[in-house]
Amino acid sequence: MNKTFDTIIVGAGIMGSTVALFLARAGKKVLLIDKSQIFRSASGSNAGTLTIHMTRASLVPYALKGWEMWMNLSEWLSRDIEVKHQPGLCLAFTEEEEKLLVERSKIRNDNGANIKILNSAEAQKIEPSLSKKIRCAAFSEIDGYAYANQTGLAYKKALQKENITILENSEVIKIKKNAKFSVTISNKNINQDYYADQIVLACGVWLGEILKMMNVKINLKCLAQQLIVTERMNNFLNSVITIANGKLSLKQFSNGNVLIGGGWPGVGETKDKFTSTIPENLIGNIRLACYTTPELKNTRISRIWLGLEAETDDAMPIIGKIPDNEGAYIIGSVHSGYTSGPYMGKLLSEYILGKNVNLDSFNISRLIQKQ
Amino acid sequence: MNNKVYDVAIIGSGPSGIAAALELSKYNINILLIDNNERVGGQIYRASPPEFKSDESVEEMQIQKDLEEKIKKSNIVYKPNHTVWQISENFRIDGFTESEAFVWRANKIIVATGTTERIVPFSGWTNPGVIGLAATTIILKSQQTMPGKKIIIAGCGPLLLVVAYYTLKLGGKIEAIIDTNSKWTWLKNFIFLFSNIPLFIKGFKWILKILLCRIPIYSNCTVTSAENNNDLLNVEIKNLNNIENSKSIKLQCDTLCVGHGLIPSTDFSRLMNAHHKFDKYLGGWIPEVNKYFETSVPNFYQIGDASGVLGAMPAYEKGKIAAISIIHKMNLLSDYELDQQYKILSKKLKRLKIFGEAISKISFPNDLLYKQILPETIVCRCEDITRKDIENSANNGAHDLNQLKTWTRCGMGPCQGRTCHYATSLVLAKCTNKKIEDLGYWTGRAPVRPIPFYVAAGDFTYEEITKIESTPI
Amino acid sequence: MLKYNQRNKFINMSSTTLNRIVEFYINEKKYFAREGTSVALALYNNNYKKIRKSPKLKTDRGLFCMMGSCQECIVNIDGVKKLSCISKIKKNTKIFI
Repeated sequence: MNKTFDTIIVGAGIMGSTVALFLARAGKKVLLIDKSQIFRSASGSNAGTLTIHMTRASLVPYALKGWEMWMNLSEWLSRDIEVKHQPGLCLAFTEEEEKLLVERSKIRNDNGANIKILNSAEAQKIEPSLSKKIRCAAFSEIDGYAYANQTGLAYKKALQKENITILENSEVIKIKKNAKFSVTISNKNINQDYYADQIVLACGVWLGEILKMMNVKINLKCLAQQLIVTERMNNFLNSVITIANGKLSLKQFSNGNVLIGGGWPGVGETKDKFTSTIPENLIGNIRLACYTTPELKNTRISRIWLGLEAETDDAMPIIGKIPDNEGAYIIGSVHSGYTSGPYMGKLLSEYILGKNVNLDSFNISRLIQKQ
Repeated sequence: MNNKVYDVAIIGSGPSGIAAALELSKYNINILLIDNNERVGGQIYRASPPEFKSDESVEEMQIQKDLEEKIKKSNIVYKPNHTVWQISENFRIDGFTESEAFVWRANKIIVATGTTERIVPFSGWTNPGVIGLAATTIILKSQQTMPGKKIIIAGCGPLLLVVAYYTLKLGGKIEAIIDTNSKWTWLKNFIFLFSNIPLFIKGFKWILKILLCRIPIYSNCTVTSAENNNDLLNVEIKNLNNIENSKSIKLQCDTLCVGHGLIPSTDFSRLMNAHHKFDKYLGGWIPEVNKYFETSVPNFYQIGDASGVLGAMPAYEKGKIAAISIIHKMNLLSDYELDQQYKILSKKLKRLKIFGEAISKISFPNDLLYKQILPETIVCRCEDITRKDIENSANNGAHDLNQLKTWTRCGMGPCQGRTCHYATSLVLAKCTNKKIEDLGYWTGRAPVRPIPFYVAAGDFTYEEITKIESTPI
Repeated sequence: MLKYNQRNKFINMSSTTLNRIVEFYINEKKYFAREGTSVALALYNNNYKKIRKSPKLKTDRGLFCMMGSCQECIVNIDGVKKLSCISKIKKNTKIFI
């Protein structure tokens, strides 16, 4: 097998895979490496919410562009993923929450969203299954979901079509730079070196570890986020539900399962990927879901899992060049990275290809710890 | 939720769970015994519902009654009808009944949850009228009735005998017994059955009764199809060496009772991220345990058939061994006493294992049974995933169980893969040319049994919902 | 108390003891069973073997594992969807399929 490429991308989640796809389509020879399998971490185990409500306000323009790409998936990726355009309702139950909701909606509208505040009756009309106790709701026509589990296979097929080399179950253990980057990977205890002019780090919660190999130190939190899925229910929900403080997301897939998220924290670390719930948080998430959507009383919880998500000190993404490392790039730690992922990945690929793309606000320099 | 912390919590009140509980109860410690059944005894001493006024002169019913009495008289806190759905850090145990959720805490946990049934799929195995062998024993022994009027018993292992015997005892009609093992396989392992004379004699009496009733026995054969025909089932049987052949024997019944051995229940050990190993004859994946049956998770023990299928007799001793280890850890037994007691118990266990190990050789499904899973045969019942679906996924690159699950939904349904774990592994192993043990096992997750939302939520006010930091704007 | 004499439907292990027989309902039709009988079994032995359909291929499903593991036997019992194999018949239990 050939060991030299134009670009080596570390991490086959949504960020790395999207960068790979667009670079390959621009003629680059790409190697995509993952220590596990494609889309097995955050990108494959998240709630799949494509929401504007929960995206950071300043990232709304990116989320909107990302959302468009999701809705037009068959044009650039695949037909094989369940993607649904649904309206998004963000709910408030108390006076305090109402204030928060109005504030959050306004700042998102300032950044390009089109969110309207509805009263309880109007919200009930759109989504009759909601609790009668809501005070008001923020309504966004632009919202929806994609089925995270299916994304990996769809991307894999698209990547293979572009002749991208994918190395799974391969852990990066060393990165050196001479004339080219040399990346040493370990697979079943056999080490192998690969070479490229460019390298892109897109490995989510493992970004910190890999950056260390390039003598760059940043603080990266590893958050274990909880998800709950119910058994199949008759279809009763036609919107994506969130709430004012951001701690609930609720949607129903076409097969009837309801998926509940909201970022309630559990326990998990990068070392062995074993995650577990914090029971009080689990019960809290369950109660919030029940309160919001009384219909859930008619079903059972089928499975609870956690995914690992990276977060920087300022909870904002890192996208762009890695300073002092000519030819090295990084992308990740976005929060609602699934929504914006396709667009941000595409942006970075254009940046790498030399196009006029401004990624200044995402520069990693702001986070680098001084030695 | 009160703040009581039990010294030991035992999940499962079958032979091993009870043995552990009773051994521990000799000391003045706080013991919690939880079981999702109504009464103690597990599957083997499955008692009838209390509403039944049953014939207690039956031997197994008497054993069950004795055990129940002993538990009642002891200081053990017993929670029947409670299903454990989660175990978390610091051994917080979450359980539920039909209407309410409970939380307990313990310093040490013993899991004694026994087994679930293994069935190698065949065409029509999901049709109503096809039920498990272990399921049938519950109907016969505990519910004291027949599943239908005319049954066919199929599969492998000692449950064939158990079901046949109890059916005849109840006056039921057996159309045929279809055994995937050859008579030679039974004979080969016969000699080891002498290691437990009383059990051997019992089994022998049962075989005699079945033979005297002249029930047709088809050895080295398997059921390859069961199709509904009004209220009946049309069943096709083929010789193991001729599965691909179209020639078959056709029989009819109203219930087909089929099973290919038992699988240790590893829901909890996987949930706790204990290390596991694959042992074919002990039932498949089992947690790695030390000599006291402590898993790789400190103070988390797994005993009985849940740590390897050997039957009720060895299960008792395993329970006692785990108990003395715990008592020693609590400084109520000296090192010397622990050693002495362990020597005696382990010697007994070693002897009792011989019978169990011989039985296990006839309880593992023959490799050839793979051929009865046709491309359109459903493998994952919950999600209607066929063998063809699994093969397609493997061709796309799914080469381990967890990857397969993500891409096909195999194992994602309400039973969370309990029913189809073996069959899925078998199919995936064949189409990736790997060994079953190299495919891994499905990550254990809560809830270990589905829990109604309203029960998990309980009574609460909006203000009570644990408030955590809002998402930043 | 009804005297138990429906031997063609239920075969009793014990010949002499009496058991409490109660009425219950399947789709509003009245049936009788020994109190405490598993609901799944009561359905099965009264010829209600097909109790639901599988989600994707819509194939008929019914009683299978009898121990609350396979989740196939879910029916509506007294207004709540439950596993029928581990639920018990009481007087006036109402089952809907």
